[in-house]
Amino acid sequence: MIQYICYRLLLLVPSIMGVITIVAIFLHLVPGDPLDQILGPYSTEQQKIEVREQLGLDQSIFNQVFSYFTSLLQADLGSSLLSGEPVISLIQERLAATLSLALSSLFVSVWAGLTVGFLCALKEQSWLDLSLTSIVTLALAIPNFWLGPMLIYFFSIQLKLFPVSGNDSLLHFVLPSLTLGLSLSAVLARMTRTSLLENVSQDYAKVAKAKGLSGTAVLLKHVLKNSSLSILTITGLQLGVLLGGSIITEQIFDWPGLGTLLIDAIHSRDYPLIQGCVLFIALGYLFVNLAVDLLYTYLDPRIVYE
Amino acid sequence: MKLFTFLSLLLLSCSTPDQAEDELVVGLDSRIRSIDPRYATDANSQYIESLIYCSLFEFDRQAQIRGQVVSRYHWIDEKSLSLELKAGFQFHNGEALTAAHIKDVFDNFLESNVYPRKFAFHNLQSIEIIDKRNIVFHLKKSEPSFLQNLVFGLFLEKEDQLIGCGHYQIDTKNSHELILSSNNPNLQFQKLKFKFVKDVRTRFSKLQRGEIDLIQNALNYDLVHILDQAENSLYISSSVGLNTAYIGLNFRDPFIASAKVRQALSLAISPQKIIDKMFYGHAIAATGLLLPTDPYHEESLESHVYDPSLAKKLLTGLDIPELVLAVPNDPFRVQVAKALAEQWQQVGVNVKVQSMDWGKFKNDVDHGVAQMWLLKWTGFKDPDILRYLFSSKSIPPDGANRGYYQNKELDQLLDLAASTLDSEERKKLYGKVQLILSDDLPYLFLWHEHNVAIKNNRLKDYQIYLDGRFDGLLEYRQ
Repeated sequence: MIQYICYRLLLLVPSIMGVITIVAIFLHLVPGDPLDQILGPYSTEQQKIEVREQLGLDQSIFNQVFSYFTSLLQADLGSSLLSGEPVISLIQERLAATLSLALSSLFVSVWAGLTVGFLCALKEQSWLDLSLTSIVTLALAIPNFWLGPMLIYFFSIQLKLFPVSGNDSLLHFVLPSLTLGLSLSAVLARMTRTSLLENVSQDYAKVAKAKGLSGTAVLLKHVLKNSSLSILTITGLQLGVLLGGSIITEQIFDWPGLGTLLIDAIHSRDYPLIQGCVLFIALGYLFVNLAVDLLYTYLDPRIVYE
Repeated sequence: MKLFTFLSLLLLSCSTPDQAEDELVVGLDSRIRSIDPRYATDANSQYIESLIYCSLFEFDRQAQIRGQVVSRYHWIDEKSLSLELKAGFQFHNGEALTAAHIKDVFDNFLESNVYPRKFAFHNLQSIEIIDKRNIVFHLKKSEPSFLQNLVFGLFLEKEDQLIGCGHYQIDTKNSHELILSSNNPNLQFQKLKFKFVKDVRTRFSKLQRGEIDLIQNALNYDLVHILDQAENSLYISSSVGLNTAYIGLNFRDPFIASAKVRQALSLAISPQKIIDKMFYGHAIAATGLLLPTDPYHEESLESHVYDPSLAKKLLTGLDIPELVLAVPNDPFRVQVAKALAEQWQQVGVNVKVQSMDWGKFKNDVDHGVAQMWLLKWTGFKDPDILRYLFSSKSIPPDGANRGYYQNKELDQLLDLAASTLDSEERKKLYGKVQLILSDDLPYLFLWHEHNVAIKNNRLKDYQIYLDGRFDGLLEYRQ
């Protein structure tokens, strides 16, 4: 197992290098000059030449990427072209907000998704199943850019229950977590329902039922664990998405996360900051995938990595 | 049930604390890029600069220059400016502000090229200290508008920290919030919180919910109109602002290079209709770049004429290609561009609106790729900006003559005006310049947008400065 983990960690290196190289190439293909943002509208050509040289932007893409990798080996992500602040501290400032929102949204998603999926499977083809399935379909269809402002309107403006935006207290988590979590929970609910229903028709479940166990007990004690692999896969993917920062939800709720940091950096062509954000997002995905793969072995001992 | 009760209690225990009476929250639409005056080129950074730093000169409510640290000044000759400093100004660490500090700040500019605002001091030759309170700025050549460059935050640099000399000190700064605090009991607000809220609907909601006390020039006009019509406890103040929206025209395009075509394009649009329908009256039609209240505004400039039938007549017989109007991807500006395109459509000119992100937009405009573009100039206070925009020496990369417009007579007038100290003579020269521009139409000037402040009852009588700065907060008393 340790060998497998080491192998997967080693695989991170080419993945990260690939991501950074691709991002660098695409960034340089997009028209726009970071110096317009750095030096402002009245800068002279001479100033631009000097600053370009100073920042190493006069080098070829290959040289820029190579020197980025060299700095990366020394754990140096460079400095923001715009503010001059170290990229690592800008990311650190946002990482806690992104992580906390990702986890609270995942909590909403898993809690609501599993509960609804479980109830639907338990009461298959009943009015409860039909109503919940309809609600889930609706939740899937509602985009975040509509749901977020609606939640703000009802719960903040009309009922004055929650603050509109920001991340100063626990109350600030409620609306963005609901916005992000509800649509994700719809996916999870559908997956849970389908997976539970698939497994409940298996022989082991029939035997458990024949022994006299109630439907709830069969689902909870026997079927749920066997269905958990697909649920875990979806949850892992969702966490990866959430760690990447949800740009729309972050914007609506003025959430200082990685998503808005990245999008602002793209607008201002702040190359080191873009690379830093992409690096963290890619690492997030890769580590979550690794964790999910390792959890498979715990949930299903038949799975062995060599 | 237990979990629900626990969560409810937890949420209640974490409710947002009440706002202190001497604390004010201002909502911003873009990030404050830098609180270091040497790097502050974006509007919000400059608006906030005067709260943290004192400066030799400052702009008053009507954007007219006046001494702040300077008590008296005079031009010794056309290249030497003598300043006498007021006593009593000191930095936040208690150190008194002297002529030596001022020399240090500006010498810093002469040494390095990395500071974006160095462009304003390219004409500065040297600084001579006469004594503690007297200083002379020597310029390379005459520049009457140099005083405006001295509206620049003065600071002490100690251990990589900047210490200001303004009314407020920096309390907290991160990427989404800047908190300034002051111990000055004469100020209405001891703490100013500037919050960056990117989404316009969220800013609007925060204002309605009372989480923000003031938003200025950061709310769409349709939302301002909604607030204006509805019954609520918010107050709106709207007054003309220091900005001019325009359509830039690329003279390298053979169709647009024709004077007849430019005239037809101008006659075909009605800025007033757009002001009424899209700005809900929060703008005034422009006759040129300068505001009608600007001392250098040429009074004989005629108002814009909207005459679609004459436009059609001028275009008769011409082979009209499809034109492209570039616009940055701000949804409101895109709507404005589409409204203009509709007006052109009525005289038989098809205009495609192309919205793009700022980087590509700037690139296309600077490199002469854009045929026409919709943009606005903001915050300019001296007519010398006309040289930067229209002189043939200002064609990119040397300036902002992005339409590649050239007129020798105009060049001479602009050069002469730029070195003329006598304000009456300058006014005459700039008057001629404005008349030439109104004939040649390198820009189609559209409107001057209002400064709009939306505030709650804590700031009922607050008025914005003409240039959009927050200095009104320093004077505000309730």
